[in-house]
Amino acid sequence: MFLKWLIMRSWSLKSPCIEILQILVEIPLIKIHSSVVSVAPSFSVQAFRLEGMHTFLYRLNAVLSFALLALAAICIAASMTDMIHKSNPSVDIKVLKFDGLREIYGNDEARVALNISADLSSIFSWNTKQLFVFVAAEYTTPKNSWNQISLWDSIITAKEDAVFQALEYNKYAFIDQGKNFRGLSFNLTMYWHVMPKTTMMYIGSKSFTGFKFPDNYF
Amino acid sequence: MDWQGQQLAEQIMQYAILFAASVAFAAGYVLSSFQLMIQIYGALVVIVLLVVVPDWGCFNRHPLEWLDPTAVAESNNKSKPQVTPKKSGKAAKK
Repeated sequence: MFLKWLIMRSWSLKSPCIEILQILVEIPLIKIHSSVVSVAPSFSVQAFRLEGMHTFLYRLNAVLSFALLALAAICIAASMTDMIHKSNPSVDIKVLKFDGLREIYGNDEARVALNISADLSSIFSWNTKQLFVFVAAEYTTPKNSWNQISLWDSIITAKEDAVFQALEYNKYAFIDQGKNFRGLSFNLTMYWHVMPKTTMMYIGSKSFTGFKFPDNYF
Repeated sequence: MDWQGQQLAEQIMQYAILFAASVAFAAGYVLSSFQLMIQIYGALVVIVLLVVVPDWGCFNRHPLEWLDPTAVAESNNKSKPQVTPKKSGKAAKK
């Protein structure tokens, strides 16, 4: 195929050399690759165009490659519509109660019951595949200026499931690096990672402040 | 497929795929379904493939007309002085 292309190219550039090239190239083609022989008889016509619609496979290639290009274009256009998509998610997170605060292997561990309710359905656009939602506890200690502990998460795959309420204990362990929990105030933040069908993922969040651990172990 | 047929096929291909893309995008956006967009686009591309790729008769309406090889040879000889006027006259009529 490359040889054929080469011949076509050189033909269109130097038409006086056609016969010489034909003699030079056609003979090794037939001798070396018996499968390419079928190409040889049509040579005389093909100086006309470089990329052609002259053969079944060439046309198939032309249609499929242009179709793929147009598919990429409409996917990009679809992702552009996400830019003008407006959402107003409503989120509420409450700590219902602390159900244990203790020291374990030199670190503080807490157990909390959370009431997480949210309506994220407006985030879903026609280009949204799914949401990854998680609630993180965020606080500052003398050792670390920024601690972030994931307490709960969920994957939402449909717009209908984006309105939910979860009354749960923390799904993942709520353990500090050190013994700083007693009397510490912390934030709870819900993050949602929006995974579109095409183009880039983006992140939204909403923070709730003013939560406070009990003053003593229990 | 002859040359005019190739040009026709290429033009049909380009316009039809651009049309398919815009129809699919519009439908997907209006009905807010990405899946529908891909399905419409895929269906239309299959139709384009069926129209353009096989060597249909409508792409072969302008067959190449090759010169008669003897006529070419004799008209070349005509320019040379050695050839007799009788023969060259016949070739010109042809």
